[in-house]
Amino acid sequence: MNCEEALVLLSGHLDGQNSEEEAARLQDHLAQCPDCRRLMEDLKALDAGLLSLEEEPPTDLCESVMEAIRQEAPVRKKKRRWVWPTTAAAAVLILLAGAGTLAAPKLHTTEDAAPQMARMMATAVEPEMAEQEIAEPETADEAAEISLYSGTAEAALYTAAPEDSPAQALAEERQAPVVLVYGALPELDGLPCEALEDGGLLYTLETAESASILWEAHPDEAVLYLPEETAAEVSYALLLP
Amino acid sequence: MTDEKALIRKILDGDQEAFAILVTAYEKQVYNLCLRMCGNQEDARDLAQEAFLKAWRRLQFYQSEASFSTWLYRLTTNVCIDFLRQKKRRPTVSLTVDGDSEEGQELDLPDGAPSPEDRLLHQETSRAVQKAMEQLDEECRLVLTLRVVEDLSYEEIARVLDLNTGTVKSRLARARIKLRKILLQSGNKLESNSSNQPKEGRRTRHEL
Ligand SMILES: [Zn+2]
Repeated sequence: MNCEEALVLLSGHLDGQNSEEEAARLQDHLAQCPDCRRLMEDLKALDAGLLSLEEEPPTDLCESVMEAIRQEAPVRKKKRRWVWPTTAAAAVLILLAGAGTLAAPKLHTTEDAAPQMARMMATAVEPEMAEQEIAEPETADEAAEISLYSGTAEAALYTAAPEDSPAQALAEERQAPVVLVYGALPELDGLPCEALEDGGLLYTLETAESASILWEAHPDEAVLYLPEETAAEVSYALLLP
Repeated sequence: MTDEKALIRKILDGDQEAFAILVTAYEKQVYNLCLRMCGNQEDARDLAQEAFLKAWRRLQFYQSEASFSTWLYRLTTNVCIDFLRQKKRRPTVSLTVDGDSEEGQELDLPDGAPSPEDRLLHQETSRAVQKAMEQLDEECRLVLTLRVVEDLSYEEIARVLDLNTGTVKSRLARARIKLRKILLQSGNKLESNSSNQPKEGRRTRHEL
């Protein structure tokens, strides 16, 4: 064995990954090669030095991660996430209001649907809508309760549930994540694309994770919709007209 | 680890606070990987936080047949690589898709590295190693950190980096030789605890 081969085996020896046969050959070589013996000592020292660099993480790392998560997802029932970026808020409200036929059946299941719808449309242009992530209320009672204390567009949106949006419907239908984007993002260039009946464009993204990645890259220009069950191996980006 | 799978299920079912258990279990590994890759505590902290946040956002895409730690290491690695690329602002070779291209590549053997005895700048080894790591290319830094600091097996490293184990093995050997060379060139003598033999006298060239 020459020294070049010994080198790989030296490294393997330090990692405890050599076979018995390799170990024996290395021993033979070391017995007759002072250079490699010396090299081995050096490499051992290197590993020890490297290991000595290990540090404890900052004590507040976990808490700051959790704090960031809470800000991102104050409520998270079910697996669905609905993210509500500030700049896009008004646009989607109008969109939801415009999709009244879609939203109507759901709205009628709550007692004061009409006032809420009115409120929703009335507040659609209010500038101070906060960035929100909204989970759906489990029951009409819960929805009513939420609307009691917030009494704003957000509450109305609980009843005009995100699953009524075209993006959520698509996510459920295709069992794949759908990211609703507000404008042609450069990442979508050249991707396979189908035209929807309403004039929207639906881009097929490479993996199930892609929609999420796109959303992370453009948190202010996209909303991520997740289906109840993810089955597809792709995901989609929806660009509405 | 079935407990971990159950925990992840619980988180996905809406118990977001349970995510803290995962963070606590892995923060040391994630932080140290980030620390070795970026070289300073401040950035390491930010990168570790970003890695966990990404893990949170993508948790529903975690395929339970893969080990969670492998998945998390891969994600953390990508966060670090992205960070380093942005910092350099120049494109580098992808770390995760170059596969076996280096299979036949020759190892960078130690050549006439200056004999440590020539200039005995006696520094504390770990400090010296830290500085040398900063000069090592990120590919080598990554594989060494995963192996030595994070104590992953060749198989685990192969899964994290999408390489085969043969490549991991040769890359590790190469990384060690490079690191040693950097150290010796910067005038550091390697102190080995395990060696109590007196060092040989001044060497000439390392005949390899
Ligand atoms: Zn030799």
